[in-house]
Order: sequence, then structure tokens, then C-alpha cells
Amino acid sequence: MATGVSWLNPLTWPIEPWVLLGVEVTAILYLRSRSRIPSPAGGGSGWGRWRPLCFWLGLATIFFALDTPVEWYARQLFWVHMTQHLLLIMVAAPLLVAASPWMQLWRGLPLGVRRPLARVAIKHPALAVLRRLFALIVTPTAAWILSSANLWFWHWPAAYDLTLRNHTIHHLEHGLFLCLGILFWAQVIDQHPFRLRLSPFKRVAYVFTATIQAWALAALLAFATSPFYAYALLPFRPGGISALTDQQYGAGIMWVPGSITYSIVFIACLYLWFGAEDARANSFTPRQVGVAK
Amino acid sequence: MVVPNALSDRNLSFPTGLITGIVLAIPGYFIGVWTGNLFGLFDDQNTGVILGYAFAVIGFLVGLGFLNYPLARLLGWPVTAVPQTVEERTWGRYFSLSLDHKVIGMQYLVTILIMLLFGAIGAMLIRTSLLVPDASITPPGQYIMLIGLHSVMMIFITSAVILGPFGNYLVPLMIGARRMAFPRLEALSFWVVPPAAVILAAAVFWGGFPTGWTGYPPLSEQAGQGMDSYIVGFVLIAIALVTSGINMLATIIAMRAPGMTWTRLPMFVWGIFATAILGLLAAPVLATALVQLAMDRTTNTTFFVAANGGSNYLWENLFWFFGHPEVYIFILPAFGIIMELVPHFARKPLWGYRTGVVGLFGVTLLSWFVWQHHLFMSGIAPVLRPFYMLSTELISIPTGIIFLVTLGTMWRARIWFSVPMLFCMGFLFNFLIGGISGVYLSDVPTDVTLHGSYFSMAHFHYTIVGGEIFAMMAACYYWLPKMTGKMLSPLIGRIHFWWMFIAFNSTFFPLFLLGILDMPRRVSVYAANLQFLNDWVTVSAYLLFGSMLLFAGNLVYSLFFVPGIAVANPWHARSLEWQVPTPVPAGNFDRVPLIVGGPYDYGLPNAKPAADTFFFAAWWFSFFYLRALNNDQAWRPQGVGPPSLGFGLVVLALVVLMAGTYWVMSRALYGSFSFSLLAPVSLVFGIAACLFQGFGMWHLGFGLTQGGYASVFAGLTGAWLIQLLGAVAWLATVVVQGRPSGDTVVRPHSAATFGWILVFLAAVGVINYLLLYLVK
Ligand code: HEM
Ligand SMILES: [Cu+2]
Repeated sequence: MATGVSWLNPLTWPIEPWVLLGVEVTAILYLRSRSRIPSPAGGGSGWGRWRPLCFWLGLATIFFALDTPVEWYARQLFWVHMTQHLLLIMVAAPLLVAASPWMQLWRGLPLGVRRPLARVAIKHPALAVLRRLFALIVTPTAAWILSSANLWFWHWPAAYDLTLRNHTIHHLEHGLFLCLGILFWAQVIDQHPFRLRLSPFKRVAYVFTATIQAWALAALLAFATSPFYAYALLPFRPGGISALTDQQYGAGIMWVPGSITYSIVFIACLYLWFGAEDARANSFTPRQVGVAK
Repeated sequence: MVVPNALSDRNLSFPTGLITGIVLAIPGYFIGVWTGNLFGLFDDQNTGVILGYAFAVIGFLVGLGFLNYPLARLLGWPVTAVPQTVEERTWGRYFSLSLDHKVIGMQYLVTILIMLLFGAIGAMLIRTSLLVPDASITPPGQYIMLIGLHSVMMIFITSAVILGPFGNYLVPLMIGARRMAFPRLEALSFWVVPPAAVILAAAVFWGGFPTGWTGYPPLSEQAGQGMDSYIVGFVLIAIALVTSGINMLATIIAMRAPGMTWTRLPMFVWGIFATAILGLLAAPVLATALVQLAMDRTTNTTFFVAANGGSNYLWENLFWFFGHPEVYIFILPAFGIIMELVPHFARKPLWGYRTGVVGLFGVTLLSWFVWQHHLFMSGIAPVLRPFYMLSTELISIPTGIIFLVTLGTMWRARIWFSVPMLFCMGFLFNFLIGGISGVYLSDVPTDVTLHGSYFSMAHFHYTIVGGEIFAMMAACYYWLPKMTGKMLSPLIGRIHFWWMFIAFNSTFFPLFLLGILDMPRRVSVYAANLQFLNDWVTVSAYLLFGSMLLFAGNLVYSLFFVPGIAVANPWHARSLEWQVPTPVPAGNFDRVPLIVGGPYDYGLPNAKPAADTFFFAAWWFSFFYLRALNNDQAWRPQGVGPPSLGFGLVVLALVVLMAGTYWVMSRALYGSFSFSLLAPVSLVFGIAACLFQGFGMWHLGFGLTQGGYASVFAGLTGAWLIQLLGAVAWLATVVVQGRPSGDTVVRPHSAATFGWILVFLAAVGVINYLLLYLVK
């Protein structure tokens, strides 16, 4: 590779200090609390056993997407950049949500930090507005709208090209993708120890509509007959493909592989819904049920 | 309020029925033709023909009595929203507007069978022509006409062949309801089908149409007036799909008997449920494309004219975006039937109920993003082909799951090989071949050589005839004892099955070979060395036709020559529809299912906007598509542009105000002061909006032929305006009566629903404004 970036030599990887720091701090917090208190969420039986795995996979995905040669390619190829985004929204975010490490991360903070922080966050009058806002943001409707609006916004050519020029904005973009991704998936994937607001049936509808919305964006890019973004100005792309081809690959990736998580969660929600229905069915007395099979 | 007593005795007294329908349809046609020719922009008569068909259909529906109820409402006469179903067993009810779902089911069945006969005769003519390798039996022009008529007729049939007869008849019975949620809508979804068939057949008088069922421009733009039959007929079928989609969803969601929880729904009902979702969302896209085609042909817009700001790819995308879900509209009810019947005859519970349902929904979801596999060879975005190949192959996973659920049910079962079961087995065999050949077609490298050949013909006949029609036959043998009260003869049934099964495979399997040997579709001339195979196929096709005649004979025999009435539950099945007596009483269940909560309690207030969203979404897609495809000049030549930013804003503001006042009003008490004040205000806003918008459309300042933008502007704003006019008309009745129409049960809900529709229209207006006025 021309610039000396090599998969084999991590020293050549385009490490972003902020990303690395974030990942490391999160990992340390997680480990700290695990070493101190045996968490009810980790270990044990059932789904809980998989939570740590999800957590580490999620973190690794973030690192992989942003700090490895993937990033280097993403600067030259639209489709790699889109893959990067998908890794954040469709892989890292749901994995982290499935791991639901929130209580653990919190306990990982030293007690001396936790207490005052909690007090300020819950009680301080100056933050009342923020609290109200937060309560609004975490509702399913808001989460749906915000995450989709965010997705569409960054594909608006002006915004997109800005992220290519301005590094801070680019970090902001990735951060928003991750956070709103977490917010989105947290509405449909159960979060230990919290309960979800959406009924199983509504979760099915929530995921279904989000899927359609994401397809619409992909379709728009897929059928565009000219490249939208500043990638077109690059004199050369790895693989020698044209800018339009690059854009169409990106769209295709957003479309088909990008739907995998949606489909999995969609099906899982359907099953959940059936479970709830079965429970409801069993609560009917046979006399009422009559001849239904 | 004082209601004069005399009013309540008044009733509509002029007769309505099939005869009056036909009587009104004929002048309707001529009025339409006359108006069209008077105002039509061009002397090619297309406007006249299309309006003629439209008016004829309207006349037909009015004559049938569809207007009686709304008219009576408007005039304040007492009406029952949903008439009590009374026991009346005359033949006449089958020939008139009936709101009984059982009557509608039978009407559907007979209509479809008659249509099937015509479609099949078309097929026989096609095959006859192919007896010889040259065009000596039918000249090319006639051959392509036959292809068009046969294919579109068959598509009409297969869109409804299970959903219509069996869906309408059985769904309420299976879920323990006395009727469908919206009986009038249900009747409408049937009564547009016979006109669609007649209008399609009328294409013969214009020399047919040359495009087959896919209607690709530019050929469909240049074609003669026969093409108008295609357009109007297909629009009617789209209407049938949307209305029955709304109705089925509302019924299945809201009208299940207590205890009929989702996980107890029969698989057939699940199949219908998934189909309804597809129909509700896919058909509006088709409608959009057809409206665009009609506009191109009558007002000379240029949606599909590549030379002038349009693109024929736009049609191809819209058509197949509908077209692929459409093929699942064919097959999902069939899956439902198979999964319903096999457990009965294997005498085992379905192996993997949830998995089966998830399979159905997986297909429903995936069928939205595979449509480009029909366009691998069209030249659209070749780079994307691998992704569509992947997604198409993904869809065979849920399909395969459904298959495995069925096979798993039969595993080690003591199967009762009754006639319906035989047809189920036939389905499994045929659909296996059909599905696997589909996977070949979805591989880009193979499709490159097979596209447009007889291979794809064989593929879809295996899925549709071998799949859907076999399932339909299973359903006939299984359910007709309940529906007609007569058991079909099992002996003839067995002969019928083996005859049909062998003839079918002998007809269509050689088509795979012919396809591999490069015989192209839709032409009557083929290489001389293929004559033997073709003659073989033709003879087999005659035999296949013969097996259908045998079925018809069985039907007639059982109906008219077998005495007595079939036992109530000949198959000893446990599902609900078999627990009612034969013939089914008018009210279905005399005692049972206590439905808690009125049917409209949680109807589907959002179904209409849902369908409409897809309608408008198709327009917005057209906007972006044509915008992206064309250079600035072709898109919007000098001098073409929206009226003015302010003008558009005024119209938009009026609509928002209309919706806003209505919204406030719908929360006020009926008859209260604020209610009676706000309703007229809302109406005034609405009328003003329509006037302004109409004025703007009239004085466009540019011709519709001037590029893509002009076309989209006219179509999108026009579609919006028409819906606004409908809303204003509805509001007018509210104001006239001082309350929204609908009986006491419906009132609060129809009012709220209408509020949603207005909000929806306002939102559409905002998006239209952004696109049409602000995007450069
Ligand atoms: C296993 C799933 C299926 C796959 C993978 C599949 C794949 C395909 C592909 C790739 C084509 C395009 C062939 C070409 O034009 O070159 C095609 C055509 C077609 N398929 Fe399927 N298909 C499947 C199931 C079905 C079903 C269930 C139906 C209907 C009940 C159906 C009906 C059709 C029709 C009507 C066409 C031809 C359209 C035309 O060009 O006129 N397919 N299929
Ligand atoms: Cu398809």
C-alpha cells in the first residue's frame, strides 16, 4: 500500500486517539466493576451468559471500524465508508444494547465520582430541562424519528462533504450514529434491568417501518445516475472503479447486508409476540374458547 | 333536534341490481367517450376510451346500488350501517349487491372460474399457433394480441383466485366473526372485478395490445387504444387489491372471537393476512404507474419518454416494485392453504406453527427488495446486480422454511390421501421445481442467457399454475362441501388430479428445455428443429385443458345431480369453519363468538393513509428518479417552473388550516357549539385550497410536454388535488348534516379517521411543496 498502511502492522493503522481512549475507558470501567462485584447480569444462565461476549464484540467492532485500515480505505471509497457506518449502527450498537452493560459501567466508576454525579444529574434544578428532554428522547417515537433523521441528514451531500473535510464533525457524525443506534435498538432489545415500553407487536411494527425507511435511502443512492459526494473528486480509487460504481456498491451494501440486523430482530420480535399471545391464549378458560383449535 | 317523522319512513325506492348496473354502464360509456373526445387534447381517442371505461364502471356501480347508502346518509334518511343479515336464500342475491361475505365469496368464485375459462381458451389458441414453427396459423400481430389478453386475464385471475372466493368466504368463519369489518368495501372489491374482465376483453375490438402483461414503454405509449383496456382493467384490479387488503387486515385484527388469539389463527388466515399487507402496499404503486402511463397517452406528459425528461426505466422500476410482491400475492394464500390442509390430512399438528408464520412474514418483508431481478438485463445499474441476486436468493430461505414446515408435518404421519391432499402433494412437487428454477433465474450469469426465454415461462407457470392453481383446486375439493353444500365426487376428483398433474408436467417441463435451447418468449416463430417439443407441449396443453373441463363437469355433476346436502364436517376437521351447519346460516354463528368491543373499536384508522403513502411515495420516487436521470435542461427547460413560492405556500397554508380546524373539531362534542362553528370553517379553508390549487393548475404557464418536471408537477399536484376534493366533499356532508356521516357506532371513529386522513394530506402537501417548489 502506497502510504505504508498494512493490516499486518498495527503501528501503521490510522489510530484515532479519541476513539481509542473511549474504547479503552469503557473497557476499563467494565472490567473494574466485574472484578469487584459479581454482576447479576453477567454469568448465570440463559441470555446473561452471552452478555459479556456481546459487549466485547461490540467494542471490538467499534475499534475495527474506526481504528484499523478500514478507516484508511473509507477515506478513499464510499462503499467502505458506508460499511463503516453500518458496522457502527447495525453491528456495534445492537451488540452493546444486547450486552446492556450500563449498570456495570456505572458501577465501574469510583464511588466518590458516582455519588456527586448522580446527585447532580437527578436533583440539580438547572438540569431540569435536560432531564425532561432526555425523558422525551428515550420514548420509542422520538428514538425512531431521531435515528432516521440522523441517518438521512448525514447523507445529504452538503453534510456529507462537510464530514469529509472537517475531522471534528466527522467524529460527531460517528458518535451520533453510535449513540442514536443504541437508542434505536434499546427500544426493541430488552435491557437488563430495565423493561421495554413497546409491546411485542409494536416492536414488530417499529422494526418493519425502520427497515423500509432505510431501504428508501439506499434506493435513492442506488438509482442516482451521478455521484453525489466529494469522493468523485478523487483521482483514483482502489480497485479502479468509477465514482458512480462506488456509490452504487455503497447503496447495495446499505440495502442488502444492511438489512440483516433488521431482519434478525424483526423475526425475534415476531417470536416474542407469539410468546405473549400464547400466554394470553392460555389465560382463556376452555369454555370461552369453544371450538377454536 | 326535531326530526320530522315523515323522513324516517322515506326510503330509496328505485330498483338496483345487476340489470340496472348494466343499463347505466352503457350510457356511462358513451358519455365518457363523448366528454373525452370533446375535451381530449389529441384526436387519438385515448382520452375518450379511458373516460368511457371509467364512466361505464361508475354507472355500473351506481346501478348496482353502491350510491344508495351514501345518498341516504347525505339526505338524512335512516339507514342501517350494516344491515342485519337476514335469511334469504334466493338465486337473485347472487346477482345483486350483497353484503353477505358468503354470497360475495360465491360470486367471486363463479366469476373467477368463468374468467379462467376465457384465459384458458386464450392459452389454447397460443399453443395451437405454436404447432408450426412459422407464423402461418396466426399472423404476428394477432399472436402478440393473444399473448397480451391471455397473460393479463390470467394475472387478474390469479391476483384474486384464492383471496377473493376463499378469503371472503372463509376468513370470517375461521376467526369466529359474523361478517367482515367493512362489508361495503368487500362488495366493492368484488364488483370491480367483472368490469375489469369485460374491459380487458374489449381490447379485442381495438386489436389488443402488444406489450404482454408487463406493459413496457415505449411500446405501451405507442400502442393503439387496446392499451387503454390494459390500463383501466389493471387499475380496477389494483382497487380490488387495496380494498380487500384494508378489509382483511381490519377483519383479522379486530373481529376475532374472544379466545381466538393470534397464535390460534388458522394458517390460511395467516396467509391471507400476509397477502393483504402486500396488496395494500403494492397495488398503489401499480396505480401510480398506470396513472402516469394514462397521462402520457392522453395529456402527452413525458413520464416514460426518454427523449423528453422521462425514462422508460421509471416504469420498469415501478412496475416490478409492484410486480414482485404481486407474485407473492399469488402464492402466499396458496402457502396458507397447504399449511392449513396438510395437518388435517396428516392428522398431526402443524410442525412448527410459529416458524411457518415467521416464514410467511419473512417472505412479506423480503419481497420488497428483490424486484430488480426482473431487470438484470435491462441495463439499469449493472453494479447492483449481485446485491439483488443475493436478496433474491435470501427469499428462498423463508420459502424453504414454509416448505419444511409442511414436509415436517407429513413426516411419519399416517396420511389420508383424499383428493385435497393429493392436490397439496401436487403443489409441493410442482412448486419445488418452480422455486428451484427461480433460483437459477436469480443467478445473474444464468439469467443473462435465460432471460426472455421459455425457461422463465416454465418457471412462472410452475409456480403459478403448478403452485397457486393446484392449491386452489385443493381448496375447492376441501371447502366446496361447506360452501355449496355438495361434496365433489372423489372418484372424478382422483381422475382429475392425476390427469391434471401429468398433463401439467408434460406441458410445462419441456418448456425448460425449450428455454435452454433458446426459444424466445412472445414470438410465434421458432427454430424448425424445436417443432417436435412444441407439438408435444401443445398436445399436453390440450389435455390439461381437458382436465379442467373434467373439473367443471365434476362441479356441475355435484351441484345438480347429487341429491341431498353434504354432511357438516366431512373431513372431521377441528377448525372453526367446520363447526357451523351446512348451509352456513346467514349470521354464521347462532350463539357463539361473543365479540367484545365493537368492530370499529380499533379498526384500522391508518390503513387508508398507509396505502396512500405508497401511492404518493411512488410519485416522489418518480420525482427523484427522473430528476437524477436527466440533465437540467431535459428536466426543467427554460420557462418551466412552479407557479410561485408564495402561491404554493398559500395553498399549503389553507390545507394545513383545514386539517387543523378539523382536528380541533373532531375533539369537540358532536352538536356542541364549537363543533358547529368549526366544521364550516374547516370546509371554507378546504374549498379555498381547492379553488386556488385548481386555478394554479389551469394557468400553469407551461405545457405538460415540457420535460420531466412538468409531468411530475401535473401528476403529483393533480393526485393531491383530487384527494383534497374528496375530502372537501366529505366535509360538506358533515356540515350539511351537522355531524359526520356514519351510524352511532362508527361516528366517533370515522371522524377521527378522517382527521388522520386530513393530517396525512397536509403532510403530503408539505412534502410536495418541498419537492416541487424548493428542490432545484
Ligand atoms: C423461490 C422463489 C423465487 C425466485 C428465486 C424467483 C426468481 C425469479 C426471477 C429471477 C425471475 C426473472 C426471470 C427473468 O425475467 O429473466 C422470475 C420471473 C418470474 N417469476 Fe419468479 N421467483 C420465485 C418465485 C416465484 C413465485 C412464487 C411466483 C408466482 C407465484 C413467481 C412468478 C414469476 C413470474 C410471473 C415471473 C416472470 C415475469 C415476466 O417476466 O413476465 N416467481 N422469478
Ligand atoms: Cu420477482
